[in-house]
Amino acid sequence: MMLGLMLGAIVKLWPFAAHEVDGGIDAGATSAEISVPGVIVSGLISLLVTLAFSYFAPTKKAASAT
Amino acid sequence: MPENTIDHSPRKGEQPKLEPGAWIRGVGMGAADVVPGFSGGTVALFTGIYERLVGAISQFDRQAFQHFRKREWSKFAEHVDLFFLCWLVLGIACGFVASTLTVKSLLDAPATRPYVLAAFVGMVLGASVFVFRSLQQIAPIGVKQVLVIVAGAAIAAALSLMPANLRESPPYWFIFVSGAIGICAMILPGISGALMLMILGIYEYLMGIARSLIHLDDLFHCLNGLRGVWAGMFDRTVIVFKTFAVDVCELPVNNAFHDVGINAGRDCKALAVCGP
Repeated sequence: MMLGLMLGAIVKLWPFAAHEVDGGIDAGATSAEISVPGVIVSGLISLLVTLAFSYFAPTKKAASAT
Repeated sequence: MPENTIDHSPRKGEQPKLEPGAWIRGVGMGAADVVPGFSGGTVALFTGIYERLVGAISQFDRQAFQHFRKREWSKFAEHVDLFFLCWLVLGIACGFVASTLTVKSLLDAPATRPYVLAAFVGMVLGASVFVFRSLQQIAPIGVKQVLVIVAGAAIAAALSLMPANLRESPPYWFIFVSGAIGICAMILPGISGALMLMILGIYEYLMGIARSLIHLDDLFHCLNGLRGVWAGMFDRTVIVFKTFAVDVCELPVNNAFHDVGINAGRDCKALAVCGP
């Protein structure tokens, strides 16, 4: 369930969605002004860093075993 | 009253000492708690203090209460590993404040918001691997597990598409329930409290309050937003304390004190609902 919640939350975090400000759409952050490569690089860097943490971090079961 | 001869204190026999390592780990936990996808519990697990942290929290039991009641401060501190907890909480507070100011500013600026959100997506995907690994250790992935994952994704997506007015001015009961869920998620490895608040749609609302409190901006508005939370908590606390004191500790509780507590809680709740 938690895994599903995390994957579903990407809908909320989608970086290309328009930014709502004071009940309206912020024209300053339209998709035309967003650098797609920059967004992808930003996402990839954080993905790799988190994957590194996930790889080296012991799971709770493993930690309990020690 | 006979003393319990079994001492579960994790630091028995050691003198209280400064623990800068706990402070540094706390900074990491506090900073991670603000970021959706990262969990303070994961940082605690990764830095090797998770078992000690959970052990220290679980030591707040009847024996700790007895030490506290008898004003045996050194035994109380030793029993609950108080110095470790204090340094850790101080670090969490420092990390939380620093991370709150940074993340909120970056999310508010239209130029940086997409990149911050992209970073959050990457963190959530990376943390999903951690949860998936834990899931594999518990049980093999089958059709039932896949169906539950899909159901969870559908719930999160539906919550993410909630009406904007609920997200911008959430009712007090919703803030209270969201806070309870977020706090529980923060201590569990792999589950991000900030992500749960993000799914529930009040992450930015609460971040705005936290940032305003740090800056001491519009303090009345911030306290107004938190009023429903503490009013409900105060009301529950009085009832829980009365039950604990009478039923568990067999203390004679004055009825007048009880009435004052209940009335104060009721007044606070009325204030939260109706306003000053």
